[in-house]
Amino acid sequence: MNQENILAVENLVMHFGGIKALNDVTFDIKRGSVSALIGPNGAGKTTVFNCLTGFYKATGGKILLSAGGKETSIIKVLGEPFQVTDFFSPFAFFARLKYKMFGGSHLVNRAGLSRTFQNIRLFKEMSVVENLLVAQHMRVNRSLIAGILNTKSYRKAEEEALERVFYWLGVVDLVDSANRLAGELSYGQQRRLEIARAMCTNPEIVCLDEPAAGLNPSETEALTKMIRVLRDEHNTTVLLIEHDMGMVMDISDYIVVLDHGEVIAKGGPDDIKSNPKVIAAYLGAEEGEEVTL
Amino acid sequence: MDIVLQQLVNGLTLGSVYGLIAIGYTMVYGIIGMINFAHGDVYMVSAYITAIALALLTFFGIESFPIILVGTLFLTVAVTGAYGWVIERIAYRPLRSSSRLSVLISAIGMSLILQNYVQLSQGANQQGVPTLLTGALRFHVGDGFVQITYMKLLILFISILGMGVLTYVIQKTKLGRMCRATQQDRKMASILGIDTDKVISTVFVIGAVMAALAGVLVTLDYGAFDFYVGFIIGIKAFTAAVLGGIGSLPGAMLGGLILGLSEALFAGLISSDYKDVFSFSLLVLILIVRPSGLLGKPEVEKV
Repeated sequence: MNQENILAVENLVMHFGGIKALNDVTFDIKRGSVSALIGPNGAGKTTVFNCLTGFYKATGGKILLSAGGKETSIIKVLGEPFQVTDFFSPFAFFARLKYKMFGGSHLVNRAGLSRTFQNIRLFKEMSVVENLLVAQHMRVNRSLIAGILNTKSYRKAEEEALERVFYWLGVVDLVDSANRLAGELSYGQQRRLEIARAMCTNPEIVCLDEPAAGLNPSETEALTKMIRVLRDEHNTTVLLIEHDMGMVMDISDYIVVLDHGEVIAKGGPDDIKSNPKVIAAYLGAEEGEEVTL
Repeated sequence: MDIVLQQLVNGLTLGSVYGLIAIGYTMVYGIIGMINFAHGDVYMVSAYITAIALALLTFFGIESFPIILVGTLFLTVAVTGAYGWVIERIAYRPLRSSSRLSVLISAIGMSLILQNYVQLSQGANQQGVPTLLTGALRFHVGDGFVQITYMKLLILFISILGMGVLTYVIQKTKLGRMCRATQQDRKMASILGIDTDKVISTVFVIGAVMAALAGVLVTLDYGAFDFYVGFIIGIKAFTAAVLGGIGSLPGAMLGGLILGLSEALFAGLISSDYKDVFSFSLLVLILIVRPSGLLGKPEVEKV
């Protein structure tokens, strides 16, 4: 995999029983870009996200994440069934056994990928600050004894975590609501908090699932600015699913269009706008019929 | 008057023991939504380990009570915690993605296995440990007196300490935050990089440790136990957890105290034969008025 790409999806297949949600999806995401995954309803966009983030275990194909100086195969860390060849190679056997026993979607996040959800999934019974602290658990002192005794190093780690929390609250403009319960926030605030929480895990690539859904135009504009901040100031690659075409064309460097579980077009915003296949998918044209926007 | 006060003291200690065991039920229910029927038997195992630890320590010639107490607590907590971890690993984790019912059956199976394994290895007879801490405080009230044995004071002290430390850990430390996050949305917690399997294991260990504290204290106090001792106290602690609102940590402690106090008062003032009937009737009454328990949150159907 070439170093320029942070994420490489190759021939990704996802079946639910007899339903083929994804058929051979292949695309690459460049490091430091803002990329968008678009397509009509039911095209399989969220399924791609779920496979990327370890929410689903893909049926076939490869997802390679190159972050934190190493390459991670997302399907492998979720734990795969044993293959016949494993029984001849102890090394492969133990690698698979390790991920079968200790693997799981938490390793995807630890490898440097985080996400938000279309239907917001905050910890509603915890305060805004706690939501962001939970996300930083890999960075703060992990010893339970230190926590009970409240040692100096533990307090220092907690303070640093709190500093990061308030930094991100500043970015998403939620400092005033820091001590409210996450469930009490308004819809737009909850969306922003979810993005801040995803960023607190210190990811190299963040996947946003319809971040602008349900937002009013001025909130959408603020969101667009925020996504640019993530890319320009934090060197984070952003991959988003979005239906707001104005916003997608505005901020994306690269667009992947899905329809019926297949990639029908990839490229810059201008190529996509004029691509007849994309227009047909959106407007539902017959095969071979010429449609223009 | 003196009987009421005496029963209040007895009820308080009994209640704190129920509370300690109820923590195991309520935390496990909160985090994976199952009722760990083997929890009462974990308590029973801890009683046997207490006896073994006492025998070991006496074998090495240790006679001072504080050292014996600390040593027994330490050994029992460590070994019972390991039991909790192993039980979760072999009986519940392989069933993580199957229906709740299969985990429940697995829990009942685990409970039977523990009982029979202890019966086979330790014998079916009642066992006993010697009384190590004697003496009592006496307060004269009117004509009679109220007696608090030092052992009961110790039970109160250690239970309150255990519950206090646990509340602090859950509310303030990072482990507690991870537990609460996992409880609210396990999948999301995992997507934030939390190893939820490890958190669930930790919760089982915490439950077993709390049961072990209760096991050591009650065994040292009563002196006698057998392989079946976990059943009735487990049911009572479960009642306490439901009474307080299952899934809620303060609820378990409160439920334990209410159950212990009302049971002791009923036994002292009305009839000790019907005390179990009374405590279960109390549960029925409270559940009629508040189906989610005292501190439990009612489940709101989302539309």
